Amino acid sequence: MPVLAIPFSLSSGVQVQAQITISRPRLLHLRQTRQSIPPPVSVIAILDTGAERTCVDPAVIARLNLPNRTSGFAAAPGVSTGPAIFGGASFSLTYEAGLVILHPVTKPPSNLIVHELEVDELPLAQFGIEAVIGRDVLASCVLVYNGPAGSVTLAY
Amino acid sequence: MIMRLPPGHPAWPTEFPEKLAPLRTEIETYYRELPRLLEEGEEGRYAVVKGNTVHRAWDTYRDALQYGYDKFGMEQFLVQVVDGRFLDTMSKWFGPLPELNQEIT
Repeated sequence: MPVLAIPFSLSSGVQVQAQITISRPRLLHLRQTRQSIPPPVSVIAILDTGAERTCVDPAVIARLNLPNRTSGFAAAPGVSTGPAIFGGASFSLTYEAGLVILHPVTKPPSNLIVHELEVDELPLAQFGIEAVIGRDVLASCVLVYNGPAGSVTLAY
Repeated sequence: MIMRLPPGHPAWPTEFPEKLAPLRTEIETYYRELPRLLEEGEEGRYAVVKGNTVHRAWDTYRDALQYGYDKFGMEQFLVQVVDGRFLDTMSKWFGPLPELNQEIT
């Protein structure tokens, strides 16, 4: 089981290097039909147990031309102006994507790869990040937050 | 905190969101076919919808996507979990279902 050790600070949160990709079914289809495949987009992401789902900045979604696949909505207080019911929530659309959390060890390959993922579009760049990794991904991980040591371990 | 708005939540838009316009036909088809899908025990599964037709429901998002790409390639299609709570939410977008109209009259 790969373990990723992540130092963090109170101000930055638990940041990881990740890649947003197209989903595996989309990748396979593009390969089979000999169409061009958009390269993964490298992002700085934070691990957020307060996020129900993984969210991605609109600029990343646009670069990968991710398809909107469902009619769901997410709410994130404070991100934008919106209904007062959530203290200014922002509605977001849901897109089909893939995710890779990069691990420095490459042999054996130790990245955490999620081939298919429904991600919500949220304007995150204003916070200096491009993705929030939520409980949908963390559900398959063991996350240990060691506050006094200023480090987190993520095993998967 | 970031949360999904469950269908039926009062914060759901009461009018069809313009950003979903490319999927409007598929979403309306899903809404129209939802009672049948629920009756057939598909709740919790992922329906694949293209145009005016629901093309089966699958156990996982992955299976539904795979089927969609096999059948429709890069064309637009909808993958939506079968959830009865959408009946109320989507009735605000598309109006009551014909069956419900008949019951009312």
